[in-house]
Amino acid sequence: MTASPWSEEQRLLGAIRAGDTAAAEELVERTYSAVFASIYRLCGDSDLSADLTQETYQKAWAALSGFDGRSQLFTWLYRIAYTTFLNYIRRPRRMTSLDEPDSIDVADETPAVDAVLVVQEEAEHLREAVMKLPEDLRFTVTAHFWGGLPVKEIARIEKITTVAIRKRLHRAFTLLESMLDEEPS
Amino acid sequence: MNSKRKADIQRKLSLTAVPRPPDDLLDRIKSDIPNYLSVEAERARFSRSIGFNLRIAASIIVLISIAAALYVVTPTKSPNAVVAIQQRKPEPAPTASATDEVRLDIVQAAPAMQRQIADARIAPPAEVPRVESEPPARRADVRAEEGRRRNEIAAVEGGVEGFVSGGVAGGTVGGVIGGNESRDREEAAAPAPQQLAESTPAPVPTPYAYAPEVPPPPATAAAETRAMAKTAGVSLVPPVYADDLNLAPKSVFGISVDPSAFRKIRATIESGARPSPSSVDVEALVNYFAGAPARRVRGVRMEAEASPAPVGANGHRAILRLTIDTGVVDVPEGGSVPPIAKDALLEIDFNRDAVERIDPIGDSGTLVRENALLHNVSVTGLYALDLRTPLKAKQRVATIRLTYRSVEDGKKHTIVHEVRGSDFSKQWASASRRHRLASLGALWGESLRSSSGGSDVARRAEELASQAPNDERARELKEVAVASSGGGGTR
Repeated sequence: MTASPWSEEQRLLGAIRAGDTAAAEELVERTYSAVFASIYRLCGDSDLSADLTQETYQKAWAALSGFDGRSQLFTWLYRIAYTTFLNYIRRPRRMTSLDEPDSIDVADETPAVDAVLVVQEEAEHLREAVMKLPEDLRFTVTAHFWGGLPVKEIARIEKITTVAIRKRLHRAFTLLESMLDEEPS
Repeated sequence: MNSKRKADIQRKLSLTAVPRPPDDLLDRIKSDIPNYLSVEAERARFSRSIGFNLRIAASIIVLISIAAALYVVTPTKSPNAVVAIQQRKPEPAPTASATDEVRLDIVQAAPAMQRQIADARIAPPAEVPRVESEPPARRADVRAEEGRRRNEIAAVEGGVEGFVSGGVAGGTVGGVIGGNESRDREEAAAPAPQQLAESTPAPVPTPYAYAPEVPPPPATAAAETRAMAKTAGVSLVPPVYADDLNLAPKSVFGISVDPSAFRKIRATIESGARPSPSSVDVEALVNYFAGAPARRVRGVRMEAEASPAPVGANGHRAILRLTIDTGVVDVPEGGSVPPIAKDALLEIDFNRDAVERIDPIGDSGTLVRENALLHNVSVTGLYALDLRTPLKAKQRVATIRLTYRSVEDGKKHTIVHEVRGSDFSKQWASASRRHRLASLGALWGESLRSSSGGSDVARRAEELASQAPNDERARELKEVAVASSGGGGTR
């Protein structure tokens, strides 16, 4: 008989809390790809995602004693990752463009690449729209679709009902639709 | 909102393509796992530590109380007290016992002793032994006072050392987070800039004449290094990093990272002369301006970034930057910077179908193996490329490969970065600030060598500095570029 994911997670957590480094490594191996993917969907930059993923785990180790185990481990990790991302984008930076130096002429005539680029542009446009959502809706959408968290889990960490989460998702879709229908600036 | 549209948005949200995590990410995260994960064990350790500290504190309080009691009760033989006793001898005191008299005299002698202690604070230590017989508490007081003085001196020196290590971290800017303490100390001992200003005539900015290198004004270098450290945005190595900073390498992978190169050139320019072309170490300038990473790095990290050239790109001239950063460690006093990797080899392979001409920026041109790659290192190399345009977005332009054997786990690691045509599609202004500073620093160095193109660089540097007013290095680059171009870029 195999252990349920929940009990397996509790076992892992118990081992980590007992100081088992191997268990911590196992946790990392199981979760880091998903954390990386979640952050990548938020920021769209692979190098930055790797850095923020690393930072997420650093924060996780520091906050381990405060994790009460009521939500799933990945839900907790996702919340840390999301906060890490928000902290990153809220840092002040001045990267407005200088006036235009000559740019390199890069072309690719193959249709497949064009199609890929169109999809990438659409994805980027969608990502920008999601980032413009109000904070509560943005977290709900990203946690559900990009973090892969079930509605029940999101409701648990947001301390609201699942119905409220579904309402948030509905409002988010309405806003996203209106934003996506606008011409990209 | 109709259900079809909703489903479409849901599908797009769910189907965002995600690349694979970098190969070294797992190792990076694992290396961050702390040794003390056990919360209970940590708590117990913390409790033990608190208990121990409380016991020490209680012992100190008891000792101080005993010392204070001894000071009050014990008869003193200090000269002042003896004099006081002698002075009081003629006075009749039939009702008081001898012990009471001595107690009274000690109380009267106290102000004199306080003056003496105050004198001891000012007087050189050699005079302290003239007090022939001090009460134990008095000796303890003087010792405590000396200890305080030492602490004050140490605090001042700590400030200097803190600045030195700060200077080092920034001074390596691209070089090694470390530096040369002895040199910095010599600089700190040299006259202040105000003195220099008083003793030498004000420099005439133009016309330039080639001149031997002028050593940098020390206090300016100090402020500069401190500012660089601030700009670098890295946690500075604590003051204990100090005594072995001569170990900071001047080159890494054959790329010059000499942190003093910029200071020398700037000093020459500030003195009104123009550095001789042969004295301009462009690689070191690139590393100065590329600086340390914005965030603390763990392990070994490679960055590669491409952009059009900042000036004169003409649709095909481009810059490729590769940077290696190694993890920052604190080095104990007298210790040396430990290696993070052995047998580190950095290779770059250009696709000749995409690149027409390759110009390594700087003198070495050849990357060499590092037998021992140290911690606290940031090294940046730049290549100026003439691309065969139009490039295809997915066309490989270059492959950069870093292989090394980790000191920590003994395993061989490889980091590979493939640079493609799409990497060159962005504008120079969209590149990272580190990339822009490094490439402008390179162009500035080249302009000093060739005596041309300085005004374009100055204009770009002014723009960059105005975009990032808090970036000390951008400001420095603007200042030197404007000064060396003969007064100003185009505003």
